[in-house]
Amino acid sequence: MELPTSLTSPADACRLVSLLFGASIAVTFAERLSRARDYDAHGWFPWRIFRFDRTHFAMVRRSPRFFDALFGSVGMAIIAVLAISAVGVMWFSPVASGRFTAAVAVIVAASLLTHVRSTYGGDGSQQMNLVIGVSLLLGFNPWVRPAVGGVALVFIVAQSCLAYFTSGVAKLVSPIWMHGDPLVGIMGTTAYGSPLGYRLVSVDARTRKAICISMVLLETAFPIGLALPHGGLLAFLAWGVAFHISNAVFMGLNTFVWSFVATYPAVVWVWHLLH
Amino acid sequence: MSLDALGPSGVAVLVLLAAWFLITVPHQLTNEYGKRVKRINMFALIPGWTFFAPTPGMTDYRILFRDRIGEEYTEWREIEWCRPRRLRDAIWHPARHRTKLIVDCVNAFSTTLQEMQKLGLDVEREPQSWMISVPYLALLNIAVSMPKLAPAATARQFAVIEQKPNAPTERPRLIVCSSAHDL
Repeated sequence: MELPTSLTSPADACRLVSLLFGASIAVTFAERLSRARDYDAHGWFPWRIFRFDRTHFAMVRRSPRFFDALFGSVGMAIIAVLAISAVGVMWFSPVASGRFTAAVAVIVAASLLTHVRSTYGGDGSQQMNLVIGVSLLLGFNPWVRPAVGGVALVFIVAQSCLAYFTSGVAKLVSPIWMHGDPLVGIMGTTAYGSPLGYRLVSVDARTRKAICISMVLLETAFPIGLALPHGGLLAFLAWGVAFHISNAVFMGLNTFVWSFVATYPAVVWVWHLLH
Repeated sequence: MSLDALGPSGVAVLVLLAAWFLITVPHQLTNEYGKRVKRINMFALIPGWTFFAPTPGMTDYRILFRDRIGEEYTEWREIEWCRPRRLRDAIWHPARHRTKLIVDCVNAFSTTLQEMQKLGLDVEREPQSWMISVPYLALLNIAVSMPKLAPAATARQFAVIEQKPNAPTERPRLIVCSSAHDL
């Protein structure tokens, strides 16, 4: 696997995007594989229950045995192994080659099947992975011209900017985020908080407010990074990396680091396009 | 970049991705447009990016269960479904899928109850209306997957309560207390 030294061509950006995206996919499916029993009939994610959300699809009603096998613990373990193997193939294949495309197609199929099985238990990194996977599949394959890769990268950047902007604006208009104490509230929970995070944000109300407001403003302003000089863009991206790492450490959102930072090489490529 | 440079297949890709992006925008809204997109978004293929906003989760959900033995009930027991954060969760965190499942199910169950009430259903007197909902069944499945509290237990009852972790004196809110389900 050769790493690009600049991000001025779509193929170079795609190589770095696929590297980080692959890490997110590998960790997500390896985690699911380590808990494969959760997907059997008596596990926490049983298809025998979640299929009730899908029974309006004739295919699910017509072929119950097929879907029982596909979405049972063995089927889900096979899907996870295929996805993890495909990440390895993707990493070590030339961008837009037949092998690269086949590997990305397997990853996208595995991600889609996870979405079709159930949307309960899914998260934002899973959604970003689907955005990136479909973009790489459609934009970097042997049947489209190289310029289509640029379209795919622009789409990834558009979704990434929309994600930060929406997340910021939704907090800006929220009374809890603007006038309440959300950091203490979130960090105090067992599900998405941590004792260390709680202690850190409990120290001083003014500092906490400043962290909260600056985070919301930086999220909202993220798309502006594309219009700034190179240093400004890098500052936004450095903040993004630090933001996702802190979310991983304090909130346990580990794969968000990989899936959201995976969009950054595309952001840098679009920045070069604009400047 | 011109359309000629993309070719016919490239233009098809452009149209598809543009449509995907355009439908993602109203999905972020809480108005009627957003609700319309949510209704068709059965597989969550259209992303929602409003993380922890506008109302962040600032409460803990606790799941309790007890078993029926004849006419008697055992003491309530809590399901330890979420353990305190560890540093390695930043790298490797398989438990997060279970965590998100419970959070999603409790939130979806609360939404189901609200929507039923809007439709004029008396959810207190007509529990059968929500007992067949997927989030309820998923929570019930988790409760009945716990080992029996006594060998002679014949049925299990579970409850979900919401508690503010930073307000120990505040009374927890009961979200649901099930009837006894046969084991």
